[in-house]
Amino acid sequence: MVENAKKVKRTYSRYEKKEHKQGYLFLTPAIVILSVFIGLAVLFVIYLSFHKVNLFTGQYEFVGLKNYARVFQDDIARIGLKNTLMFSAVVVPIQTIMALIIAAILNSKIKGTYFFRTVFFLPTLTSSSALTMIFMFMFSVSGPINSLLLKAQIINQGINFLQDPSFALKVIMVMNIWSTIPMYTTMYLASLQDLPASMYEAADIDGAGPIKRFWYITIPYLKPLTTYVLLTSIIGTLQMFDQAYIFSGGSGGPSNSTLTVSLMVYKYAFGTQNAMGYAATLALILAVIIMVISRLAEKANGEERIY
Amino acid sequence: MRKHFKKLTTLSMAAVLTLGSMAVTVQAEEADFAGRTLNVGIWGGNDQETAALEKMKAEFEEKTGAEIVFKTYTDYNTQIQADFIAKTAPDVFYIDANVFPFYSSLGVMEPLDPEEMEADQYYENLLSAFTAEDGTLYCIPKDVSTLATYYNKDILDEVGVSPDDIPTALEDYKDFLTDLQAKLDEKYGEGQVAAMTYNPELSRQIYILEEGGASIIDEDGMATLSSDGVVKNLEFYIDLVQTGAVKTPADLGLGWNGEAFGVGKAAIMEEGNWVYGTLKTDYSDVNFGVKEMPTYNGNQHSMSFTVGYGISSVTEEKELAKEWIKYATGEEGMQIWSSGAGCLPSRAAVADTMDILSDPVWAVHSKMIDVATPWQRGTTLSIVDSAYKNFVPAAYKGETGAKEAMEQADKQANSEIENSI
Repeated sequence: MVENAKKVKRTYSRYEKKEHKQGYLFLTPAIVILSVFIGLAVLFVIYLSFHKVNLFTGQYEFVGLKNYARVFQDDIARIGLKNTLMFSAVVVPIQTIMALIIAAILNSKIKGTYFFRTVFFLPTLTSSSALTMIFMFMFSVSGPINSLLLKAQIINQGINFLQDPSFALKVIMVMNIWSTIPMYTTMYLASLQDLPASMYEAADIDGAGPIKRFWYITIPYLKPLTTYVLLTSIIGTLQMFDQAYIFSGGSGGPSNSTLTVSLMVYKYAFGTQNAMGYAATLALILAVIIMVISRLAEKANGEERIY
Repeated sequence: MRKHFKKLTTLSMAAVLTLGSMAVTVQAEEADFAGRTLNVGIWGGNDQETAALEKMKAEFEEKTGAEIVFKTYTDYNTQIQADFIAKTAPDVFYIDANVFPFYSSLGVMEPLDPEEMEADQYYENLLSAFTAEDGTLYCIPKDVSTLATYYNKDILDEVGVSPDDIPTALEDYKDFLTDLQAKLDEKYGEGQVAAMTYNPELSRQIYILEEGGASIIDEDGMATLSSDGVVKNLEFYIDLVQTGAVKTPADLGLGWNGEAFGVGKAAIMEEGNWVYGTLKTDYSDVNFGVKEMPTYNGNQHSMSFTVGYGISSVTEEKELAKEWIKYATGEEGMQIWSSGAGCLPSRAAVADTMDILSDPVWAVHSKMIDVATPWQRGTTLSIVDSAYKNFVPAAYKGETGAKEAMEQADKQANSEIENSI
């Protein structure tokens, strides 16, 4: 009975109908802008992915699923995807956990909280291309990292972090983790400000130590925010482009170790081959992968959300 | 060949000058450009280049009454492609010879009349770099740069090596550089100063790789880096690098050859004439000399890099655009540009007027024009170059064999080429 009752169509009064119209009226500007700049763009990308495109001459040749078939035979695309997933798999958990811990520490009553907050937030304010340049200097053969390692006699010859395929992506990982932690720390901190002190006090009386309090109060309390942090950092890392581009001068080298899917899209779209169709296909596949992984992460962290 | 050419040009010079000046006055009366605006697409250069451009702009504006607006691209190939697609490209723009085949195949440039543009005044191999396969001329070369061998006199002097000892054949470099490196290590400490720097990229090595009839790209534009001839030549250079005496600027923790040479981290480098200005202004304490490029397999090679002006096919200022090209690549404009920006003129007559042979550095670079391989090879060059840069470092380090590395590079380049067909 109850089930059926829900399905009965509601009739709206004239006043309500008027209100709905007003609502849609207010939404119109946003809908128009979104549908032109996002909706149409997405549709155009889908259209492109089924064509061989020459944007210069305006020639669109329908090729069916050929672009898609190519992606699955493309070894280089597999390397790009592997690098991208690896990057995400390393960066996202470290980022989230570190941000959570740092936020909890900053929220405790240690001295100089404001000073630390300011200092920690600085990397986020710096542009990521500038950061890349700084990191490339730090990790260069004659840079500070190498001289430190040399002085400590851990190594006896400078490591060429930037040119060595086994290090290049790791340097970018370190950089990305370092530069995005503060952003998430700040979000966690803001949320922690609202956490009622009485919960901690109660736990204190029950005899919970700082670690238990962190584990049983702080983490569950921040769970909805964690979902958000996970999602944004998964999306951000899977779309990583600028750092790899600057790092490798756009080539994805050495030996394809810094080649990401976004970088491949860029190379095909803006190279000298008119491969916009293939680039669109790669971009779409990346979008699907991001959607699937984000959904999985959301599920894994429970359905609570704040957005 | 060049002497011959020079004679011809000097002969025609007088005639051209008188006729030319007449033609200009006639045209100035015919076409009135006053109050019109011309957009010129360029990429940013150093202060000297900017100053030279500003001077040309002022002179041209005074002459014609038109206004020149520069549009400076920071990421040229990406941005101008978007402009071409949107049909908002500047009226006239720079085109680098290495991407010329791509842009000329797209029909985004206006064909130029060789006679009207005085094409016979320019070095022939530069002009052919801007001529499409069907013989249509699309751009006029505005300048040219070539590679030459630079050496640090003081460093060589310190270790008792005379510049004359630098071999003229690349085959003799191995012994010479090994010996020089040992002396440098003794004097400055292990690994402090490299005997020579190199760049593992095609724009610097294509002439070595292709010596003896080898080819890195076949007629269909596919990469053939792993073909026997290319691999043999690469192995020769790898052998040279593995002596430890030849390093990349990145190996030394520096940005480019000029910097490594300027700060005294390298005794010898092969670099383009753009470094001449850098050495004079930024590293004025370096006492350097310049000599010709070495021979390899008995043939002397260098690379030439040239940039031209092209006119957009959708411009409404076609005549004014031509006028700008005629001015900028004409005698007056080119002289301002070449002497200001530090490039070689692309017109032999201007080279004579500027008397560049009186400067020993310019004389060497100028001489290299005749033996230089132009940096251009069809539309797939940038893909092949990117694949080469990607895999060749492992071969230089000895982690993979030359053949294996080049096979990987071929595989990557060809899959990228195929994916876009």
